[in-house]
Amino acid sequence: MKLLSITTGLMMGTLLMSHQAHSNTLFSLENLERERATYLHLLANSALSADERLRQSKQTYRRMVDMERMVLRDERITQSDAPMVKNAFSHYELTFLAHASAESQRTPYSHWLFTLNITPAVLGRSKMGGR
Amino acid sequence: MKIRKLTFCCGMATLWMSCLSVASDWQPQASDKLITLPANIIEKRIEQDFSASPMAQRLTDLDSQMQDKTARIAQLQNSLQIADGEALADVKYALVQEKSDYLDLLQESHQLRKQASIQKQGVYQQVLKKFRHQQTAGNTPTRIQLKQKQEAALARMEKVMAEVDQNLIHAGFNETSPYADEYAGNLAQIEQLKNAITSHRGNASPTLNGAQVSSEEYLRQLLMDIAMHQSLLDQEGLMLSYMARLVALDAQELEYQLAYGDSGDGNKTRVVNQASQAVDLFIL
Repeated sequence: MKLLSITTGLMMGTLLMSHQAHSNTLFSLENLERERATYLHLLANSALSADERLRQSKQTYRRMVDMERMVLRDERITQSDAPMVKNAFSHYELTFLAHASAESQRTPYSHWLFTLNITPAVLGRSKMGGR
Repeated sequence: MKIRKLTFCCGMATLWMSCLSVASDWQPQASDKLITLPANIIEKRIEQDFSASPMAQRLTDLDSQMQDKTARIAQLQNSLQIADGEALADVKYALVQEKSDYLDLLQESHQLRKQASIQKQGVYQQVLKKFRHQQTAGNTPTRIQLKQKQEAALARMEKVMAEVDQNLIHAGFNETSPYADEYAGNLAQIEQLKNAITSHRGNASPTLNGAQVSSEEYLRQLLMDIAMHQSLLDQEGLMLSYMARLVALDAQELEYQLAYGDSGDGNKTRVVNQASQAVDLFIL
């Protein structure tokens, strides 16, 4: 009888844990999106001094590296077919910016702009005007 | 009169059995909790549930009654060898009565076993259906595609991981992040735990003829066994009907014997006094 109670208790514990774990399957992906948005904002923020930007972006870059690895190792993410997940895996270059930029031998910011086709040549051809 | 009573008893037994089917019921359900058990344990659980049901208790009771009847029939068959005259007729009557009672018990037992077999089949089919549903529930085409994309992305990322780590060192991070440290440490332990789970007896796959099989295969084998059992029960039903026919013939024969006697005397026309036989009385 005692043994049965223990087994039931363990099973309940496992269920509880899995329930908690599934409470937000997209948690790591949401964190990554936030971290990347912060990183790009930092690099584009002209209000910051070059030193301050470098200091802050280094910290964010490191966190972003960890986040990207977490997302790709997180099996719960693919249990959801939310548009956010589909979008993330359809655009590897943008979602996993730290690793994709290392692969292309560019800085993360250059890689971001390049992927979005914002190159010096395109900028040079652009014209100012009202929309 | 005795024979009529016997026939009436046979008719009543059928009605009585339909009433009994309620008292000796078994209503197994393929609950969600049952589905979580290993297939071989599911089988044991269902058998255990059946053993504790009124249906199984009634079957045990019927078995015991049938054994008594078999002994009584054997005893009467022995008496048949030594009895004669009025006693022989009584023994024959008792024998038909006992055989009829035995058949009633056997028929009830047969119906209960057939019903149990159908219910077991229903439960195993439900279990198999739920099991298959569980296996395929999380695997929609979109999720499979996403999983494949995630795996491809992970493989792509692993190729540049060393390079990214190098970038971090260049950026002044001489120590790895807490996540990377913990992750590397846990990885080996996770492998050990996985191995322990794989080799655990409680996680062992069910076996059929000594070979390990999947739960689905085991359930399919159980359904096949039930189908085989049902086929044998059908055959037993045929035997039962022939036995009933024989008992009916015995009863009929006994009825004729009691009504018209055992010898062929009944066929002879009674001798009546005729004038020709009395002629001598008058001419002498």
